Amino acid sequence: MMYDLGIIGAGPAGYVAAERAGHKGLKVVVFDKRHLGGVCLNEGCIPTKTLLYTAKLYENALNGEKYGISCSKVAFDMGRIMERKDRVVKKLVGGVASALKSAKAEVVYSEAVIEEKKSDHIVICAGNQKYECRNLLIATGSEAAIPPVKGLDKSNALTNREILQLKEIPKSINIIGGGVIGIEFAGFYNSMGAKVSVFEMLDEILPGVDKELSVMLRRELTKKGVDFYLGAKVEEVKGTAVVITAKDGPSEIQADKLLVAVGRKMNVGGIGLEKTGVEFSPKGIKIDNHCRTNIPNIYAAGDITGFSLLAHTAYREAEVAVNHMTGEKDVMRYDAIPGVVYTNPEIAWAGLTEEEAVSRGISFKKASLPLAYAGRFVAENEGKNGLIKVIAGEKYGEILGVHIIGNPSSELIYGAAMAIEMQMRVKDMREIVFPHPTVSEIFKEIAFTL
Amino acid sequence: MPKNQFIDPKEVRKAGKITFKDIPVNQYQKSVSDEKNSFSDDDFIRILRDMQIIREFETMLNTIKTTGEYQGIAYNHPGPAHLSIGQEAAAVGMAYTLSTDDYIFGSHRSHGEILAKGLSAIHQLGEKKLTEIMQNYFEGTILRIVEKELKGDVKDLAVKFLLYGTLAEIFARETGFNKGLGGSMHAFFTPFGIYPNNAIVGGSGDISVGAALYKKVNRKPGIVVSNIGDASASCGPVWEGISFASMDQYRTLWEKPYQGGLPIIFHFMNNLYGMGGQTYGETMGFGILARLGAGVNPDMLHAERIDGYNPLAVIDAFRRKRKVIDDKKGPVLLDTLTYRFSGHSPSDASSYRSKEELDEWMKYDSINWFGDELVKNKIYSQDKIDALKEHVAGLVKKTVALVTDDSISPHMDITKDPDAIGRLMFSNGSAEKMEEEKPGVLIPMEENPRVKQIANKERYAFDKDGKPFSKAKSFQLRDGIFEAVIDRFYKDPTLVAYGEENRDWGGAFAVYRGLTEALPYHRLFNSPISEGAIVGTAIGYGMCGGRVIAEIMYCDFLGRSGDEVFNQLPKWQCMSGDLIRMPVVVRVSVGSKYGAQHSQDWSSLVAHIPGLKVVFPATPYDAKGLMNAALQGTDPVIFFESQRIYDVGEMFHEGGVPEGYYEIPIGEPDVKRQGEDITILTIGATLYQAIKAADILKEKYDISAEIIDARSLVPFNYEVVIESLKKTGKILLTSDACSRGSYLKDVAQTISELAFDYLDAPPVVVGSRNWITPAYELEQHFFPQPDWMIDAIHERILPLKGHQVKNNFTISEEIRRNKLGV
Ligand SMILES: Cc1cc2nc3c(=O)[nH]c(=O)nc-3n(C[C@H](O)[C@H](O)[C@H](O)COP(=O)(O)OP(=O)(O)OC[C@H]3O[C@@H](n4cnc5c(N)ncnc54)[C@H](O)[C@@H]3O)c2cc1C
Ligand SMILES: Cc1ncc(C[n+]2csc(CCOP(=O)(O)OP(=O)(O)O)c2C)c(N)n1
Repeated sequence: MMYDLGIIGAGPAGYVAAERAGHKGLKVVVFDKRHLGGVCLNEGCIPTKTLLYTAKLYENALNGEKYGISCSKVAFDMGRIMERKDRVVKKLVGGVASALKSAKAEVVYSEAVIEEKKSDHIVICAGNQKYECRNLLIATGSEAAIPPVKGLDKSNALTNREILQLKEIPKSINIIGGGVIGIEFAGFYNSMGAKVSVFEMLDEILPGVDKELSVMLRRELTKKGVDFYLGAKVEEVKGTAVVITAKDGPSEIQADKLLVAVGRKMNVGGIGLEKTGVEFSPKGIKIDNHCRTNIPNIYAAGDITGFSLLAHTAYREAEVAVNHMTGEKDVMRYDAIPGVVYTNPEIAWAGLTEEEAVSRGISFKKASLPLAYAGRFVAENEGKNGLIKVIAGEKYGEILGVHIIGNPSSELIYGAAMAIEMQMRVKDMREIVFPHPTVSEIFKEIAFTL
Repeated sequence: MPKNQFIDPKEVRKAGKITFKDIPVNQYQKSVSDEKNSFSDDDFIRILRDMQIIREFETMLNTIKTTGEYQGIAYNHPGPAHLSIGQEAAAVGMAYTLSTDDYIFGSHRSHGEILAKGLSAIHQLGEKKLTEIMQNYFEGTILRIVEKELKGDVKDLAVKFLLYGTLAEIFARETGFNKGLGGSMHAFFTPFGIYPNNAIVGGSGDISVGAALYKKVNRKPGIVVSNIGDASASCGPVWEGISFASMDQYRTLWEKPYQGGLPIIFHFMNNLYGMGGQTYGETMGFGILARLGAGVNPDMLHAERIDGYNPLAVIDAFRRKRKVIDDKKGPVLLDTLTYRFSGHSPSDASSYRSKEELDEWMKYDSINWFGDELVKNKIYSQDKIDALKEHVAGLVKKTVALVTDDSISPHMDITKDPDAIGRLMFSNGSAEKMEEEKPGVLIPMEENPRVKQIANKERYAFDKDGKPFSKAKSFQLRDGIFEAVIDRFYKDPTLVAYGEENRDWGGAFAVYRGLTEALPYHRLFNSPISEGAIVGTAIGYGMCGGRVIAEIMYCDFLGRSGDEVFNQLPKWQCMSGDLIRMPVVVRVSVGSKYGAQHSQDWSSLVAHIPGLKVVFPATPYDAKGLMNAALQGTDPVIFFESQRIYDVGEMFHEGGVPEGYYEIPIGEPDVKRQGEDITILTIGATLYQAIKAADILKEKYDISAEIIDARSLVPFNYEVVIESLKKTGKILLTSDACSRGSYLKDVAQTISELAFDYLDAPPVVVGSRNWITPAYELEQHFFPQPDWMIDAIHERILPLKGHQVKNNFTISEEIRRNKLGV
């Protein structure tokens, strides 16, 4: 059977591509060996955000006094929390299934392997069946990487997959990796009362995030009781204990559980890619700005491309790929992709960090302002502070990067992303009318300081 | 192999041995007293004078190069000066007996030879003739300068003229013998029989043979002397020239008046060194260079070593060897022993030889020795010698003053006349014949079997109903070339054609079939497998005034004529300063089916070299018209032919290929099919693939393609392409050349600049892969195919609705391949 498009992987990249292509009238088949929704829905974005919201509620209940609310006997039931998380996941996965159905995309729940590349199509083998596809989208995503550290393997360490199945909050937990995933889990377990230690090889957590903000978050979490070991190269793991070399010799940090969150490994192996001549980048599959590989009818989107590792990037890449293969002009741009760390407080950003602007030799001006300049923030964040930082082009004042720490920056940041994508200048920002009182007014406020 | 030469196995399998005659070494041991009867006192004195002039001239250059002044005249000469101090006797002896009908060719170290030959010519020529030469040369420009500033009787003036013209040339003055475009290593003056010297070691080795061929074929008087260094005895062009010059056929097959060996002397100026490498005892194994003659032919090239430190020995040798040549027993090899006191160039620190050696040779300095001989024999007094030296120094000083005076001897003013050099790159002449004689042919053209056969062919590929005629019935591309070639053979008496298997066989691809019947041996013959010499001799033949078609059987063999095609053929017209013409057509056949070393289109390589016209016709009409134009012109033309399409009929030119003579101007692309949506520019046989692509584009995607056949690569009229782009806004360029660095990449780039405003997409080149050419069975993966063109259009220029690509023209793949260098 000949398909216009075969998609391997039904994560955010795969299912969005299937949906879009289906609605464009393409005959689509999408393969997944696990479940619809990929990492994002099943073991990534959605379950973690569900849990983090629960944690936030719990934390607020414990701290109600600040707002004049006293709660006694504040407690949680981990069983029910996890049950609700599973319900959310199930609901959303179900939603994906029905979306694919309405797009008339065929779903095959089986591992897919490229069997052969013919001159004008590709033969996929899945579940002993052959599927001929004129175009192929590789969207096999990524999985947690386990670094080669002495004593570390899947028997003693948890990854995002296993930890999301824990039925209880451990007394203490060691987290190797101070990236977004590690820090979100650190925030969660800290809120839920566990003793958390984070080990980061670099000298600051959240690499890639504006440094000023990372530092603020780290201080906030430290205040809440998280232990950070920075510049700490984990030498060895003994069961769930972590051995690091500190300045004063090796030390061993004990904990009940061990989470590894040191990065992702792209699922490039075992799919038969080598038969196609597809070119790889050091991290994944190499694509051009149409999300196409070097092979004319093979595209790739999502984590497999190895650099953005965000679900919303995956969505957009999938759309660009589908548009390109159907002859619609579209180009993938990465300048305004927002990023969020869903801790309490949240960090959200879009565009260039100050560090990036410096290393790329861009002339820029910058300004930062406490979020307290927005009345709504003061009203809702008793005793908390937040910050916004904006980077703009020196000459034209075009907005290049926006970085915010404080709640609910995750819901504001799209505004910054739009401004960057549309190449708005600071001057244009001043002319926008924001609803009052909202935290978003901070955008207008800071525009007048630049 | 001609059929009349029977190779008898009994004969060639017989036991026996090869015997060699002795090769004389320095047998001439006479001096002035022994030769008083053969030379007048004036002759002896003239020999001394000529040597002294050379010595002073070269010393002057050395002084200027090393100290920045000469006799108080400050000057900086940044260019080369390979001096021959110490070698004067060899040069003067060589030139002594030569007349202006005798031509010399030289090397990088030939100032001495030029002066010696010039002085000898001045001595021999009458005043009237000399005046005429000086007056006619560049409309008397040099003469006027010399006359005004240096006065003297005609002979005197001529000597000053010679010194001035040579030095002005070395110092790159517009008033030099070659307008300053030749310089030290490429100076020459043909009216005195001085042909180019050559900066490429051994470069004259085969070019000079072409000059000898010219003399033989056109029955011109005189001999050719190829002055080359001992180290050049290991150079390919020298060996190929020697092979070419010593072919048996001159004696065995050529008709009566043309029979006999080539009139050439390979004159090795053996100073025992290359630059620093020592040919005697280090870099060569011959011991005595004359030994090389032994293996070449039964005459052993009449090889001899002579003592080049005694001018009389050299004169004696040249007298004897001229007789050999007059007896039609050439070629000759002379190993003239000499030694240079100067360094290879003034920067040479002489790290490769000892001071003792140099001092020892200086003891035998021929100028001192010969002067002493004259004094001893009371021919000349020491005072007179001293006066002579002083006189010569004065002469040279005046010459330097004049040449270095910018107001009298300016450099070319490129600012004022930006096209001054450009104008000289091509002569752009139009000449039906190079001489007026009656062309030597064997039968009237109408009786030629090929001509008769062609008369029955269909000159247009299709019949009234548009059905194609059979190949056998069709007038083919090879017939088009043949018609132009045979026509010219019956017009231009100087035209000769040669290459491998040209006679009898008719060329490997039957282009020349029928020519053997038409032409005597001396106009069409088989050359040795010496692609260097095939082109090199053509260069010599052309610069002497003949027209020639040289054939390279496969384009891939062009590498073997690399120096000739890259350094010699393209350069001499301009370097001569408009003195010579180069009516040389090199036919180069581009192969297929035979793999990596027989299937390459190297048109881009030659198009890169300034000074060559390059054409690649793809239809019989264009092939005939362009060959006619090439053969009417006076410039070097590299004429590419594709073996893939030798048999195509004329599909484009309505009415078919005209029977009569017509020319297609070189440089004009031709719209082979009109269209509106996209332009496809092709070079060579790829035209036919592009036509197929255009048909598919029309049928499947309703896109009409305009097809332009470049026909010529150099020159090239972009206006035709730009005109098309105004309509289509898009262009695909395609040829069989490997795409990287190809000529079409250059054209594409130029188009981007010239027609940016009309372009809707980047110009895209579809060439062959950057691989070896694989076997025929895999060729469709190597050479551009119609579906490649369509895929490339879809990917890079204009997405075609519903098109599914089969080939990879993605950007990422292009980057990846480039990263890998494939
Ligand atoms: C803990 C965690 C939290 C995260 N939080 C966020 C967040 O808040 N926001 C955000 O934007 N991103 C977040 N991410 C990242 C996000 O999950 C990924 O960027 C996203 O899932 C990538 O989507 P994808 O389609 O490329 O691949 P994936 O989601 O990895 O999906 C790939 C799919 O391909 C399938 N597959 C692989 N090989 C085969 C095969 N051979 N045959 C058939 N099927 C195959 C897999 O089963 C899988 O379902 C988080 C990730 C983690 C781990
Ligand atoms: C093809 C080529 N190779 C190398 C050189 C550099 N080069 C110039 S002169 C020379 C030595 C030539 O020796 P020979 O032919 O004996 O002439 P001589 O210099 O001794 O007069 C060399 C190697 C060159 N000009 N051309």
